Amino acid sequence: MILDKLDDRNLEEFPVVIFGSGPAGITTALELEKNNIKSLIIEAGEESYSENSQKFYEGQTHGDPINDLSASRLRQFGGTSGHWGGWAKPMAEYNFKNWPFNFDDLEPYIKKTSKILNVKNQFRKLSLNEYFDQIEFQYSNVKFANKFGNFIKNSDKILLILNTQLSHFIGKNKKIDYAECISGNLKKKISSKYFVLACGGIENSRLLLWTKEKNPSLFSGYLPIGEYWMNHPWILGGAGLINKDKIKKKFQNNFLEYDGPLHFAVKKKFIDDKNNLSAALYMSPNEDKKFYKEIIKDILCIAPKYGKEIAGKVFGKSLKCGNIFMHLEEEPNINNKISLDQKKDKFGIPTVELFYKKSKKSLRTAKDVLEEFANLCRKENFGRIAIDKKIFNLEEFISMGAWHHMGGTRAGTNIKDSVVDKNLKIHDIDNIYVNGSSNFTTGGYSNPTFTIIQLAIRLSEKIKERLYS
Amino acid sequence: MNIKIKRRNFFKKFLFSLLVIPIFKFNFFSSNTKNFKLIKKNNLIWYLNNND
Repeated sequence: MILDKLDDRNLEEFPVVIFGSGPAGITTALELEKNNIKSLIIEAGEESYSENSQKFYEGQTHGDPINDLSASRLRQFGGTSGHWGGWAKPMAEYNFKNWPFNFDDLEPYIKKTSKILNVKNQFRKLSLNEYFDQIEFQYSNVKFANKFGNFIKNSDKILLILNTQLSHFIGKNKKIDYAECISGNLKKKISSKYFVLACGGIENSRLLLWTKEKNPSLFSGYLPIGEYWMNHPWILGGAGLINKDKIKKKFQNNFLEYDGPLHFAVKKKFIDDKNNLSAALYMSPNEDKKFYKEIIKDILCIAPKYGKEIAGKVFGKSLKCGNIFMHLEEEPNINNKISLDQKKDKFGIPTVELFYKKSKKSLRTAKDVLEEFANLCRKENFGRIAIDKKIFNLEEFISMGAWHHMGGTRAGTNIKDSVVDKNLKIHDIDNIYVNGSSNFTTGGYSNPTFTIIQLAIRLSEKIKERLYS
Repeated sequence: MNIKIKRRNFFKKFLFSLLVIPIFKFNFFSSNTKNFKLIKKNNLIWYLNNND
């Protein structure tokens, strides 16, 4: 069932209360529903986009330039899945090196996650050499509110209440007793057995920081809430051309032939040998024909022999020509953090301040990856790559976007540098879990949504085990 | 005397147009290494084989 606002009805029948109706929150509720467990979802936003609701996401940013915090996420039913690009892929195995669990713990949920996202459960890779794989993403068109809206409306086990802001949690003796929520003029304390905070990569930290300020004794010791915040830099690394026929000829049936970007990622050996982070590069499926011509013109001018070799194939399907984009991992940095501003929103909750400095190591990785890949293409005659000269001056290099927010409530075993444990439960508090990319211990080159959903399914199992034990 | 200066200036301008202008105009920069060469064109540095 879906309600437009909170009212004075009794909500004690729900053993689980989930805050946030984005991919993480909805997935958890749906999985609990399959196990006959009732859940209440509290969503701060409206059923669809509204500027009034979006204003609550405004915040201050300091340090290096970063996308407007009210534009990079959506405060509405379905959360940020309302405008996501749909890029879906599990994170690489080596990205879990510092997590309190590994790739194999999440592997059982790949099939289910693919089904939720309406994508093929197919993430093949081809080893190009010791440093590079050709990789495969899937592209989802799922907007969670559209796909699951009717199901939730008709469900007798899920109640979704819109236009209701979580303010903070109240509790003592390592247990949360209530969540204080505000809807219009109504302020209500909601109690439950288990609470799940799934409000996104910035809100999770904000609401926990506000809880900490309201209940200083609730969290034992120092919890690094809001710290180790990470971005997922997306950059334009250069341009080039790749002759797919040449790769196919060398690797024969192993080459991944599919419609979509031509995508490559570094292997663990590259990261270890070069002391780099993970990164992937791709060429879009459709580039502007004018751009094709410019590239060929340049190649004919500076490399006439090679230019003549490929000039006839310019508009053929085997030659990919265009910009080279990259997705980079950013290492966790304690100084990149979310904190509370002096300014408060209309519910009296402080707005956020984000301090962010781009990672020099990410940009050095981009340079090293491009150079290595350019040399691979040249030596194997897969194509020719050109690197944007700005990448050699890392200070000047600008990320094209920061749409993926990670960290702030990172998972780990040590209370000094993590907020949640391997089951995503806040350290030392018995009944509150955090759900979403804020839990990421480290990032990777993959977009985070696939992993968020894997984590949400796994979390629902952990809650089910506790409820049935 | 004036003619000599004019000639010298003409040669300076001639040499400048011959050597420097094409570098700015076409933005060429070439760096040859043992096995490959790097050529800068516009804002891009191309990684090419010596026999390209």
